[in-house]
Amino acid sequence: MKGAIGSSLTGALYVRTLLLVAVTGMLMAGVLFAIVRADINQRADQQLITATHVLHLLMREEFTAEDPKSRTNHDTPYRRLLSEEDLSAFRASAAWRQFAVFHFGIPAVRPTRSDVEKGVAATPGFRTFDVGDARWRSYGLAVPEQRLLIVVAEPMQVRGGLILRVGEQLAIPIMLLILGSAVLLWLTLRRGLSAVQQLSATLANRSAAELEALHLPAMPSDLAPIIAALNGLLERVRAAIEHEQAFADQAAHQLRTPLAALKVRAQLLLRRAPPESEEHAALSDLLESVDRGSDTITQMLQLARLDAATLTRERVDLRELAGEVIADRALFAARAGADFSLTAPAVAIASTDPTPLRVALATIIDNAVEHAASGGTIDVEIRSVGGRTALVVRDRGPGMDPERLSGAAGRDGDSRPGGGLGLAIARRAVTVLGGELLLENRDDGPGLRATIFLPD
Amino acid sequence: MARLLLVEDDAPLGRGMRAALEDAGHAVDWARTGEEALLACRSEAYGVILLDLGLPDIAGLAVLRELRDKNRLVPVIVITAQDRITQRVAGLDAGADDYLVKPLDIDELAARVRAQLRRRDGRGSDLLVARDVALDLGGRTVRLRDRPVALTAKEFRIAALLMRRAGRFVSKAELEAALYDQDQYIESNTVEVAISALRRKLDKDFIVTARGLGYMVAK
Repeated sequence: MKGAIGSSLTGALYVRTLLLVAVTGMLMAGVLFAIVRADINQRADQQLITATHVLHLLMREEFTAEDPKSRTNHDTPYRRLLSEEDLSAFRASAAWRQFAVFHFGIPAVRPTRSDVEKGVAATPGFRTFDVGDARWRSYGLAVPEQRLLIVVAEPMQVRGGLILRVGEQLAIPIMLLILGSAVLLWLTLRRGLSAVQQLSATLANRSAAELEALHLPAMPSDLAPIIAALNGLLERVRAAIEHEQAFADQAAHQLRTPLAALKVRAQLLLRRAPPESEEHAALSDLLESVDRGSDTITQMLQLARLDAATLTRERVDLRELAGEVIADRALFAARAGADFSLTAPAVAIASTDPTPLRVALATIIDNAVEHAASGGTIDVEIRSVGGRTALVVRDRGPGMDPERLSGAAGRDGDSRPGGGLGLAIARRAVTVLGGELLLENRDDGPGLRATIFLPD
Repeated sequence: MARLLLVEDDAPLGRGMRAALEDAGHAVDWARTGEEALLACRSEAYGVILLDLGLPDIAGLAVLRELRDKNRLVPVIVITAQDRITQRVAGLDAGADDYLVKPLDIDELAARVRAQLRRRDGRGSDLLVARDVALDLGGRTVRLRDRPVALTAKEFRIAALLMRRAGRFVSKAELEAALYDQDQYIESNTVEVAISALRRKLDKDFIVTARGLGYMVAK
């Protein structure tokens, strides 16, 4: 998966799923935190109540130690409600707590901190109040029989600290959980989408000529529609190419068979015609026309095939390819009075499609042979021109009208007398190849220089 | 010279080819369909079969395969309107000995038939045939259009190497190497001298030259 994470399917899925996991994790942590906080508050409140009851129990001793008669006398406060030992024991048990005892509404025991004393009110039940910057919570236990009100207070901060500690303990496992999910998610997604990568690798490894249907039995069923659609497209492309080739083959057969009959008959008649006769000359003209026609058919079929061509790439030995193309024409050229020379480095390898390259070089050389009426050498050279590999063919023909040089290799054919579709085919073949064809008149005397630049 | 089977469905071309082959001195049986061709092969042993691949009833390559199943030795020259390299390879793979693309030249046709007849008469791979020249490696004889030609040992070696690799260029260095085990010392122009002698004794364009590539006997 190259490129930005967001632009790939895996990346996009990963980012979204990870966000979902993170949000879910945070929400769960938040809910957990709220529940824990409510629980802690409830327990702390419970403990405040317990604390007031403990104080009351400690005081009961003093009450029962009094004269039983005095129990009826509720109008006078006791001098001492708590012993010094009880007081210090209670304070030591929870140093953060403050308490006050009201007897008959009059403070009998005061909180040790004067600022807390100001905030404490003689009211039963829970109460929250401020002491300076801090918030405090208190509980007042009313004992009506003894005209007692016991208030225990503690700063909320105590609970906050507790809640914070729980939060800290929760945070690390949750972070680890999210991180772990992130890693696990990535691995799962990569594994799940490896089928897509396998599919793309299969397609990328195919050459343009390999159009048979994809057969990937190990693919997940989700990809079946894509593979089916691709196979449908491959089948249509293959059918179109086959149809075009079948048509060209049929056309070749239909055109060449009557030409072959014509040529055989004309040759047989020519054999029997007395030399120098009018009949002999007429039959020679007829044969030349037949040959010209069949050459044109060959060229048109080549053009049609180039248009339907699918490009492949392989390691091509240019020296060998040029040698073969020259060998196929050497006898014909020798009879036409032309000979060949090949100049090439010992090793000339290119990565290209040999079929259009062969067609291009062959048509250029055929064109050169055709125009080498006066003889002369056709030089074929393989060399590097400006860093690009080039095949150069130089002939000793008449060259070309400079004004027509640019148009000569277009579809309209060769402007040189006697030229067919040769250079148009060469240009088309070079274009199919992704290269470039350059036609120039030679600067060292008459003749044409054709250069095929291979693509980089 | 020999009895040939011509398999061609097009009447004007078939008549023309039969006339051309008879002109070259052969007896010709003409089959217009694949069925007829297979039937004719059952009763007659032909010297060469000329087979058009575009037949109306049976695909030409199927006829060729069936012919090959029955008779491994009869030379078959495929004649076709198709010149795609893949089709050429398919034809040769199916057992064709030679391949001609329409429209054909009657002199070329006669030469190819002669070459196949010579090859059939030769003893397997000991006989090299190219154009009108037959070279017998075992008997160390060379014949041009069935007339014996006298060659020196060097000329014979060079002709044999070029004919074995007919249709491809052979570099001068390779030709010199082929002569080395015979002579310890080779003059710098030994190959050129032998080549010009071969051209004089055989046909002028039997061996073609290209600078940078070497020498070649065209197929």
